[in-house]
Amino acid sequence: MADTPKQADVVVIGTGPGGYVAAIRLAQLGKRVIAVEREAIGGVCLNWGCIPSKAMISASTLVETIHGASIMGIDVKDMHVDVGRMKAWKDTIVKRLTGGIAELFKRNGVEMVAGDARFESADTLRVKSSSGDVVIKTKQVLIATGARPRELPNLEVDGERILTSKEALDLTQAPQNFLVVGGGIVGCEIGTYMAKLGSKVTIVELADSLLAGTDPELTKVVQRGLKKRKIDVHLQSKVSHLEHKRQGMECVIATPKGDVTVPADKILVAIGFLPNTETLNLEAAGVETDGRGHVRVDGRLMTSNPNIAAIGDVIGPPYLAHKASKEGMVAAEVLAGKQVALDVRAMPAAIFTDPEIATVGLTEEQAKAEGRKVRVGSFPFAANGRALSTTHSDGFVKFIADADDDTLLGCHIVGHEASNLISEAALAIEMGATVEDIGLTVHPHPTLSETLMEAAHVVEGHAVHIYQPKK
Amino acid sequence: MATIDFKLPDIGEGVAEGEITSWKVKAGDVVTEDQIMVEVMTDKATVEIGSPVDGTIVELRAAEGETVPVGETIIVLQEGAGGDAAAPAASSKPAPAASTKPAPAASSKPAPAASSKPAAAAPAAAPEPVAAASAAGDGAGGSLEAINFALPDIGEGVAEGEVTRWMVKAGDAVTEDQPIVEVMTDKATVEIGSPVDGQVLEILHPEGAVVPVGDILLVLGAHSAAATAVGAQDAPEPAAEPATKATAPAPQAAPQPVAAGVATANLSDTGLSTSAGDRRVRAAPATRRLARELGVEVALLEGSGPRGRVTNDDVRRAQATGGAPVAAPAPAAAPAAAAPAPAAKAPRPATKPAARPAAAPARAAPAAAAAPAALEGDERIPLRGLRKRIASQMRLSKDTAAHFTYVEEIDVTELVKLRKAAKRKAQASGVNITYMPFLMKAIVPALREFPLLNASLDEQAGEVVLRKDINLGIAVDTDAGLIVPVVRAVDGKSLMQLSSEMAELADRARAGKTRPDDIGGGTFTITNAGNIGGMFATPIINVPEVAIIGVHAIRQRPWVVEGEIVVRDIMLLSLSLDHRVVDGAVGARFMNRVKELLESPALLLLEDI
Repeated sequence: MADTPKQADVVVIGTGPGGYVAAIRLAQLGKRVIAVEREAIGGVCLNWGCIPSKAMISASTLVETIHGASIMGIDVKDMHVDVGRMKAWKDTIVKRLTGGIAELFKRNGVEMVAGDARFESADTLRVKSSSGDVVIKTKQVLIATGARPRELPNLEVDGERILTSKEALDLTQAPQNFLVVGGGIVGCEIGTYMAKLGSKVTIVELADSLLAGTDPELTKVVQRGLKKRKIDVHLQSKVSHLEHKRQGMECVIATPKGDVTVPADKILVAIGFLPNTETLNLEAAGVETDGRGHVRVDGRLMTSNPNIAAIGDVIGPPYLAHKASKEGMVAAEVLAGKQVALDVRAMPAAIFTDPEIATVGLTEEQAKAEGRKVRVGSFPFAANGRALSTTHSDGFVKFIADADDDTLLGCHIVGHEASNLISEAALAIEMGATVEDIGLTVHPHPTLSETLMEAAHVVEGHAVHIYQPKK
Repeated sequence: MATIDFKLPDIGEGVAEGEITSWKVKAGDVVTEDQIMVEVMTDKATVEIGSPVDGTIVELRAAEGETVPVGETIIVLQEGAGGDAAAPAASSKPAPAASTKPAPAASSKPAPAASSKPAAAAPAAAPEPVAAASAAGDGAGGSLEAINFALPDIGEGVAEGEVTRWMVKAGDAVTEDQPIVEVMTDKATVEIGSPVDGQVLEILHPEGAVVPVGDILLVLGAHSAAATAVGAQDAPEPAAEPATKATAPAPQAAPQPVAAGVATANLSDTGLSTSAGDRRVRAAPATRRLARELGVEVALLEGSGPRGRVTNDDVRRAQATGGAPVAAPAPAAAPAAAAPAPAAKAPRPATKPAARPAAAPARAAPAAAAAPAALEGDERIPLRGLRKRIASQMRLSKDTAAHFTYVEEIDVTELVKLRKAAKRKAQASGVNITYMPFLMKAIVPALREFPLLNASLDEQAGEVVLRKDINLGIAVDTDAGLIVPVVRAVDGKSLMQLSSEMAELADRARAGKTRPDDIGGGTFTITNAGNIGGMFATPIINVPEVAIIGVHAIRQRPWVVEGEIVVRDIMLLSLSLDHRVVDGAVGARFMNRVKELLESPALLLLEDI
């Protein structure tokens, strides 16, 4: 099999949202591209991450909406929720999207090789698969192998009772008692939707806040949402003991207030990610990693080997699909000899809790740490007509502006559809817009987007829909 | 007695910076007015710069090999004979021009190479003590502290460098300032010295690797004491020091270039914030992309839009004038400020490489073509200096001017005779008369008659600028490349005068000693390709001019004169014109006029030139 090596201009290892974008872009630029994938085309994002979790989140939110619809005079009797069919529906979405990528590969002439890639030298890769080895000779390589959930030694993932997000998304029944270890983005998102599907959810977090790294003002609103769904949150806590019973498990959680024992049918371990680098044999290619295994790259995403680039989760946090895609675009053009670099002023991020959080640019704290004088203003969803008329009045939009020249530095939203609202702020920051620019832009009524315009007015001290005392 | 901050003068049109190639003086030297102090290479030519006064050299502010922007102080001079004390102190401002930003200790980026150390001078080293214990020897023999040594900012606009030679290997002991690595940038090759006494722990980039500024080159183990010392010196050095010892012309005023925190943090952690350095520049993403493609440093531009917004036009204009990356006001300050700022802020440090245009060659070629595929045995020569300038000028010309070339045959039999006679005569007075002054004599009246060929196009204003003077550029082939010195105000100069002026200009150009006044300001160019061979060429217009004439070999040819075939001396002239300004008919009439004067050189007598 491996006698005659395949020849490529560029091998892309990994076909997640970074790798597949880069592979197609490289093909567009005239490169002969081979994409190597060891699991499923589309990577975590499409198969076990962004897309499937959003499907389950929107379905579970519908369940919750129906339950709460009587406030609007809508009574629904005998509602039956079949999580198995919900999961099957989710799978069709995943299939459609991944099938689409496979088709795009075909049309663009990107060759797929299934298997586990390993560098034999800087220009030779061996791909091991069940059907034998394939050797590829290539001029350039793009590493886009991503990251995988980190595990805990005392909570070994078995895929049955103790799960990563991957298995949790494939459950065909909402567990009666669902324990989430790790109060980060994944834990809070999945914990919330399980609660909406009827599980009793407990979240255990080692740190002293949920959603580490997020502006605490925003996290507070999400925490209220968790409380409303009867989700117990234990901060500065950890699972100290686990006992398997015939039916489910019993967990002892060491909290600052003492031990708490909770029953659990399933446990989700969501405590972070590890880069997928150790099986690549990067030393053979002269590609350096940092202490945690992330591939080191420069501002043009090139590694220590001038013919090898790396993008996405494998180069380190934040672990965001759109970051990987952007980097994939840039790295593809860099490899093709174009004069480009990763020039992004602000990377937006969205968290699909209930309500959602979306952020872009600097936090107030970061801006001050950079020595800037800032002006800050926020506008509550509760003063927005559209938010009230959709029963989603929790949350606010917060702007951070440079006090000297009014440039928008950051925008932080917690509230309904925050993820769909943030792009306006992202564009504003990329364009170097001022808060005044946003305030002067007409926003259609009645929409949630008005909250951004009004937040701009708050920064400028002349909001109409909330009272601002004269200075 | 006054102290003079002697700044790098404006050495020619479009020249924004120069590389100090050789110092002819050192601190303490007494100089006389016009005495050559320094040789500076620009992208146009190498020039020698003389002292403006009689005096004493107090301080050299730049090292050989360093690239200095026009307007930056390169020498501090003291006017008059002796070394009066107080003066130098006042002017010897602290090298780092200590930033006004609230920069924590880590930000004291020394002015590159203000110092006494010619070799190690240019790069301000950038050790960053690393908390982790060193890989080598803890325990006995005193512990080493690992220092991540990053590729320092080697010069304005330089975003990366190629490691051309390692002078040490892992395990070697090094002393402070000992050259450890040779790095080639698109501007120069520099040797970088060790910031500390210690040991080389690990070399992170092989020879041949291209490393972005700020990326870690090697890990050094510093003897703890040394490491501490480096740390301690992070605070800006009091620069006033020389004041106290200024009785003698202060030898080396600037404190030694102590390194400080050029960012070395892990890029992968901060891959997002690649433009923190120019966060404040108002420019849309598409504009930034364009700037990168054209090799223009957007952070240095003064935007023409509201609140300084940089537009696509601003970027294109900057590129067209060639001075973009460096021509902005206060060029020295801007990049310096941009550099240390991110370094000072731990969370987003590694931003610089990307914030700068990644590689300068793009400047020469807008929308730089994809790199040519490598072939076995390729040799790669960096595009630098004059070559780079030519590349970008020619590209600009072809991108802007609408070229067409008009070729005519000239019967110069009479001219050949005339020139022979003139040559004999002139040789007596030591002047070698070529055909060039005759051509000039013929071209001047033609240009007077057709002023559109002695013009420039101001696209911004939508106007054609007719030049009053006729300054003829004469293309000179030199080892370094084509240089176009200019014979100014040609009207009224005699053949002899033109000959000797031209000879001087050409000699200086070939010797690489072109003076600032020699180049720039041309209004029409003559290029002579005839002495090598060929029938005719289609010259590329020397923008912003709109016309260039190519002069070709004079050859004896069978020629029909009054029905008979006779042997005549024939020369081809090719006239390239910018059709946006000059139509074919005008060019043809111009050529007819030149032809008339060259075929019957006696007519030149009738010309009032």
